[in-house]
Amino acid sequence: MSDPIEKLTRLGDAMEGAPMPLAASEIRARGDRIRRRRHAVIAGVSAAVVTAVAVPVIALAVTGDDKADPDRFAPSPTVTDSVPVPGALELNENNLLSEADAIWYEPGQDWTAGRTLTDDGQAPPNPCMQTSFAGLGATTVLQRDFTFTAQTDPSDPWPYLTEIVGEFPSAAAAQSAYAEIQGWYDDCRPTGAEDFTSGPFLPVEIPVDGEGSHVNASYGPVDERLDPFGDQSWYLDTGLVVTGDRIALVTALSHGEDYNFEDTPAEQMVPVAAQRLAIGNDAPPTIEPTPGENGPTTIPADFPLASGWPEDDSAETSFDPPSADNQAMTAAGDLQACGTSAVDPGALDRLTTRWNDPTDFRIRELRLFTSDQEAAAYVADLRALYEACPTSGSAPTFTTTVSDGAIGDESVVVTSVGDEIYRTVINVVRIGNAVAVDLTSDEGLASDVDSLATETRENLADVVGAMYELQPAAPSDPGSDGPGSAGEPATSIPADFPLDLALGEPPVDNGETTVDGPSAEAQGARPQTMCGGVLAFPSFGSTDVDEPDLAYTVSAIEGYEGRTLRVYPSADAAVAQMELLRSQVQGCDRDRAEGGLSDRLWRMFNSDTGYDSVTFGYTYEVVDGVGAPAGQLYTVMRVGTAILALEYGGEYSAEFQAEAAPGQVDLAQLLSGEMCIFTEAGC
Amino acid sequence: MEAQEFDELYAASFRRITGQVYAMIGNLDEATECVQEAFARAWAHRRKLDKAEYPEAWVRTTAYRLAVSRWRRTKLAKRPVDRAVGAPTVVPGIDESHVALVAALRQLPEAQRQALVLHHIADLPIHQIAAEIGVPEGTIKARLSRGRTALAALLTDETPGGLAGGMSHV
Repeated sequence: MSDPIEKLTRLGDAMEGAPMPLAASEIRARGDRIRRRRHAVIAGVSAAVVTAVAVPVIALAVTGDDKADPDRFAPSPTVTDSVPVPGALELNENNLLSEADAIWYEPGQDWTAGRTLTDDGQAPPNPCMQTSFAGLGATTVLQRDFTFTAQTDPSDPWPYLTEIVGEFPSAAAAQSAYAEIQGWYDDCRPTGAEDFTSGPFLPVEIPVDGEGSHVNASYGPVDERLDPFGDQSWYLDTGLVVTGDRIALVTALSHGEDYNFEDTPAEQMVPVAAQRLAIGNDAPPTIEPTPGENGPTTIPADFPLASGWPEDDSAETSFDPPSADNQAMTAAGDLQACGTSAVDPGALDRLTTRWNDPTDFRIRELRLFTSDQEAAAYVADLRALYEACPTSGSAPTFTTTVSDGAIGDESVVVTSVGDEIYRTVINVVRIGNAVAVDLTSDEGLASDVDSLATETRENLADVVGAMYELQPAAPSDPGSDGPGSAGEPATSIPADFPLDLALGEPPVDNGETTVDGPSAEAQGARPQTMCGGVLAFPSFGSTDVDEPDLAYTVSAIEGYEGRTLRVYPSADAAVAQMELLRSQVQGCDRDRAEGGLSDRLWRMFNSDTGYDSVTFGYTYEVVDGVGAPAGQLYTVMRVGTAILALEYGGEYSAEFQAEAAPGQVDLAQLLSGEMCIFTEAGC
Repeated sequence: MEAQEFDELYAASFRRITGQVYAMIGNLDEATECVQEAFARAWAHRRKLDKAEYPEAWVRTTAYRLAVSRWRRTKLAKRPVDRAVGAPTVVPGIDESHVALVAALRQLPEAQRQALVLHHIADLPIHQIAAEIGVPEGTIKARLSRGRTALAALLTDETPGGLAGGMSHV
């Protein structure tokens, strides 16, 4: 037998001397045609922008309503006026990538446009999505899915392309959402993934005002059915655009052994997506609340700025109650890094409070600015101050890190630690035109700074809630999640609310299985702790007539399923509750419950319910075969003024839980349909 | 990249790349068309090609991707392949033993086949294959090892009286 490797080598020579099918000049001519076609595609999008600007002149003249004419984008040879029209058009399908725009190898050749949804879709448009666009605050959302032209096997529907675009109440809100979306990739863990690797978001030049960026990420493993040899990864190729008050998120997801594009498809689509997104968005993108008209200008005397702090009033402690007379943090030098102090930004109103004992001190300050932009600029200034100073001093050397937080419209978390002890955490939270700065410093172990970050974040719950209360109702109430007829949201839970809806056959109370509820007396989703804090489930806190509970429980030998529903006095209160829960869940990867023999490993899962929701759970760590095969899975979802918590506990493995998570999200989606009564817009 | 430089690259590497892609996909006509199309795209993106450290690797990777994409279309959608460059290309057949070898290669997992072709036909060092495919060098070594073993078994199976006879030869 001859050596197969020798055969292989000889095969390499087999083609030598064979005729060349085409001359090089013909190949170059073909290349020139490809080049011309690419330019034509870009030019076509530019033409669409001009058309969109011009046509509404006619529509306004005829109907007086620039949104009333469904054919307003129809080309018309009689329209030549390209003068920009004041006022923006509503986001519509023309703002989405078309088949001709979509790229894999070449524009217009590889993708077929599928469904176009007029809201956040039910399928996850991006595996890193932590909340829907509506949950981010978008008032109008559109999503278009594409299928690979060559793909007909429904069991392997990849590569997959989708774009979701959203319009936000303001440019600042869109900018905030843009940053939050980028932050998703810092702690993304797609369902079933054991690892996730992402590069940074890199800027992409776009032909309109705004920002474009893209990021490549990969994760695995790929399901054995698709990758029997274990050689593949999932490749998540993402493009992101913000222009004015709009955002576009382009996601191309595929699996394979590599993702070897010089310019990835999503990266190539960013400029075109930006041009599409800008169509009809001619209004100045910087319209913000005017001082005195929308944002609050004064801080109420009873603002709970010191809420969550120790109430110890021993001789060793001192406490300056909240007052505008207390020295501002900037003036006192509380906010400085590497010898540079933050510049006093001024304020419409300010409140400052301090608490300290021999080893710890706490400072909080709330400022109101004349606009959201000024408030955002202050947050940006503080971020820049600390980012410019990663280390300082010697013996000890202080190390400072700056990261995005998860509270409010935007937030920043600064931690600074000494070599062994000394730790400082600064939370900066902006909600509308209000910025709270919370600084806590103690002599705890530097290695334990994360627990201080968690503690300070949780202690801010009342402050954040009160900051939301300060803000007037937005043009789109956070409770208005779904489209439908206008009306007042339900303030109590109807007696016949079907909390016991089931995806399949409903469970039967038969002695082995116990079904309790739906009723106010059922146990529902049980209280839980995470990294030492009690999670802000709907059952968290006091129950009164304004916050009625409904619960449902199924318990059997296989496990426990609990559901709890609560209605809050306002959508803002419900939003604040979700913010608190999110802040608790973030950053806790493992803990040990009281009496536990092994650590609990917490994981986040995809939670694309179409609403503001989070899905997470724990299983016990198994080391050398020792560890309980048990865990609990939670989905908490807000729809308007109501929050639903789902719990599924049982004796199962981490792998089982990962497989069960999408089912629980499906269940939440099913129940969300019934929860539209808690939104202003209804269903 | 100027036209003359491109033409020289085309003349020097077209057959070599075609042979490599043929070994990867097992269809010479298809390989020829895809390499032509890849060269056309290389010319269309010649500024990028100027920056590429290995233009030949760029063309080979693009051709291979085109081939995989076309294979999906023809297999799954039962549609005719693109005829972007011109009429379907029919190239002379090659040696029968090469056909047997390519048939054996086609039975290997794609990753192993690609590693074998790039290492033993394209004569690329392992680190360069790792860079071209985007996986660690250790993975390439493992694929080569498994691929050689599997290929030897497959080629032996096709030889009458070979080890495929199994236990009777013990």
